[in-house]
Amino acid sequence: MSPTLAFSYIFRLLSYLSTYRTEEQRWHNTPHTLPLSLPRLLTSNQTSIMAVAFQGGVVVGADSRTTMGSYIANRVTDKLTYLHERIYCCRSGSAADTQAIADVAHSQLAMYSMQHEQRPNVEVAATLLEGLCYSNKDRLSAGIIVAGWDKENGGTVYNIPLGGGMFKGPWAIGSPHFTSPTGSVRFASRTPGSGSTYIYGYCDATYREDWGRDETVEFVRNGEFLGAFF
Amino acid sequence: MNHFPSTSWGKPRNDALDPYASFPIHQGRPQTNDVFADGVQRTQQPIVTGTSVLGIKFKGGVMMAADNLASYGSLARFKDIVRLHPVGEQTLLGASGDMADFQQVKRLLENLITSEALQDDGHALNPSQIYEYLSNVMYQKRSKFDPFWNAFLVGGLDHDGEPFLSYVDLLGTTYSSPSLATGYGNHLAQPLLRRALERLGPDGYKNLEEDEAKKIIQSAMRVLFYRDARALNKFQIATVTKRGVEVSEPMEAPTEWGFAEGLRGYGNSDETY
Amino acid sequence: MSSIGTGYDLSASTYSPDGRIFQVEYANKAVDNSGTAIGLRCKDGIVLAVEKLVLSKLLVPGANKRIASVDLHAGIATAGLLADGRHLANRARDECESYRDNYHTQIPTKMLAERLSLYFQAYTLYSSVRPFGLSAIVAGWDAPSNADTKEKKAAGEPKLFCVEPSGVYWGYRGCAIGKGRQLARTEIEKLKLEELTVEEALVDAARIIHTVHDEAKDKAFELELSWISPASGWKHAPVPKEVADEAEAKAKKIIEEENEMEE
Repeated sequence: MSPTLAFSYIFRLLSYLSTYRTEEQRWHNTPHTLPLSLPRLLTSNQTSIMAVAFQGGVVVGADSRTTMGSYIANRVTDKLTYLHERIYCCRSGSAADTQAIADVAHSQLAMYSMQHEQRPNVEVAATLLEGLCYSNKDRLSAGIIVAGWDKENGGTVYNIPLGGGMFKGPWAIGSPHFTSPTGSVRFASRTPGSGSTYIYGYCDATYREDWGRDETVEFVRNGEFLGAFF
Repeated sequence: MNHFPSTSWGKPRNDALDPYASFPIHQGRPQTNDVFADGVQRTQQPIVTGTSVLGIKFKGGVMMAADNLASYGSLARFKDIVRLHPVGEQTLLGASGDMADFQQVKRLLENLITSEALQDDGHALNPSQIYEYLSNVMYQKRSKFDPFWNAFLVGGLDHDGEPFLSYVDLLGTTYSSPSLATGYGNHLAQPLLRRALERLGPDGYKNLEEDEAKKIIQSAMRVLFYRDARALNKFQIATVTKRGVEVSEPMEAPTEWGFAEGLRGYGNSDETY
Repeated sequence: MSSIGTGYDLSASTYSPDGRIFQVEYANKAVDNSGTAIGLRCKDGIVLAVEKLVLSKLLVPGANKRIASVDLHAGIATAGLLADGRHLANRARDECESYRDNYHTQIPTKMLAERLSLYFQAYTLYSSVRPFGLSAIVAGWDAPSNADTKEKKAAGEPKLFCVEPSGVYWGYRGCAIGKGRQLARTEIEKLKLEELTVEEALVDAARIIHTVHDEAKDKAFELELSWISPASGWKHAPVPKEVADEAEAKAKKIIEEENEMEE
């Protein structure tokens, strides 16, 4: 082995060792939050989603704003998402998360109706979404309302808020929560939007069980209007 | 141990950070100065929560009570939630804490009961067996750092007809007593229940009639409604007796809201000092 | 048997030149050697009955059951190899639980029959396995998913299917498998199943099993009865002993009377 070659070999070895050492040190010194600080599309704090059941069906409503922080990323968003022929969901929370969940549920419901040779009940759709939201609760920020009509139960509304629980009721409005830039989920009760406690007050005081279609539409319209301001 | 259903549930309270527990309950403890705390949070937190459950043994059975509220932080979100759940023919489960986890636990127990029933051997699980299963599940979950964020009471009649009542929580902690309570009820109602039983002598519950137990439970529920801001004056009472499991319709406790007018030195008074 | 010695019957993954799979046909023979099992779909529920041949006097009464509950609302009765039957029951239980985990409702009986039939069919494809020596009667009560009260439970309907070793399944009003199936079917065809209640059909089921039992060839047998009925809360359950004994006694009496008439 020539001295030059030997030198170069040793040099490489040394440089490798030294690089390795600094790399290791750098690894230890780096806060591993990089993926979490990527921008996320949020539709959370100010989202006004709402679903109300009446005798012959349901009315669903939502605003059309998607924000990243205070920047309006989309001013014409469609948050009322098709799940099956007579079942829709209202999405709030991370746009990416809720789109992904709704896509999965949509395909599962398509499969369901083929296998069972009948339309899924609203309960089935809600159950599938609940399954997704519950088993991934640590990774998702999604507050979803499932609403629709089926032969057995008529107009039906299910609420699936942050923790992945499933709550049936004659009406549902979005859950007040927000997602911090690092991705962790917080819930609060005084953020603007339909989940605002003020809107709860309006709904609690106004809703009547004997409403027909027109009154229900008017109710949702009012709820959405108020949600935009309070 | 902090029994508030907040983000700090199950952790010892950190008196160095919040010595007077003055921070709003639903927001939990204030952030520590760890700037990456957000980024490394893995364990879940309760979101939709139910408050206290009370339980008491009486002559020939067990009684439980829980209100119909599921809170969302400080928001009284769902007011028709049933937190007393029959498991099989002889057992009653009362749940506080995260309602999504409670729903999952109900499904687990349904599977358990079903697979037992399918043996067609005429044997059904008794409350102590169901409790043993549940407490094992609770301990396993917490050991995976993914607890079911609940405190449960399990009650019923054991095979020998003896009343059974036990507690298990998100840490897998287990204990039994003639009267039990979860959450706020542990602070506010349990002393009342104990006093009622102690008055009846050793093994006092054996001298406690069902209607008397109901009165005690109702008055304890009233105290909880007065003093627990996450409680609702709409609650159910359930019993397990020879008649089986019976869960009542929702009821109210009568309340009194007259101002403390006679109080000297404060309020509606033009007295001078 | 034309198949023997040809070499086309050695594997489930080999067709004969005329398009048959002899291993599956042999599996049917295993079913035909077994005691009869019948299912009757009545207007308010279902009766399953099995002629359980007792192979040894040393066996405890009630041993080696051939009817199994697989979910609260469903049960299966099998004819064929006993061990295959138990394996199938466990598989059915898993399917029911899996459906419950996914949809939080009880599996519709048709879906259960279909999933079991797919399982059967998978065992007709490979040379490394043998097809199930089993036919199974799948019975269930399909109630609306929101059925939390007795009235709503009652609004459900009974369903009956039969799965065969080849993996086909059919829906039936009444069906019979095993040794005495031919005779049993003729007897079932005489019944007005749409009008019968479960309690009434219980006697017919017992009578049919007793009728098809061949005392000359098989000695002892136990009558195994299960039902899904208003009395069982629309759950699949063994018929309570007193009720079963009474039905069996009535059935025996009817058979005796018929015999006397013939004499």
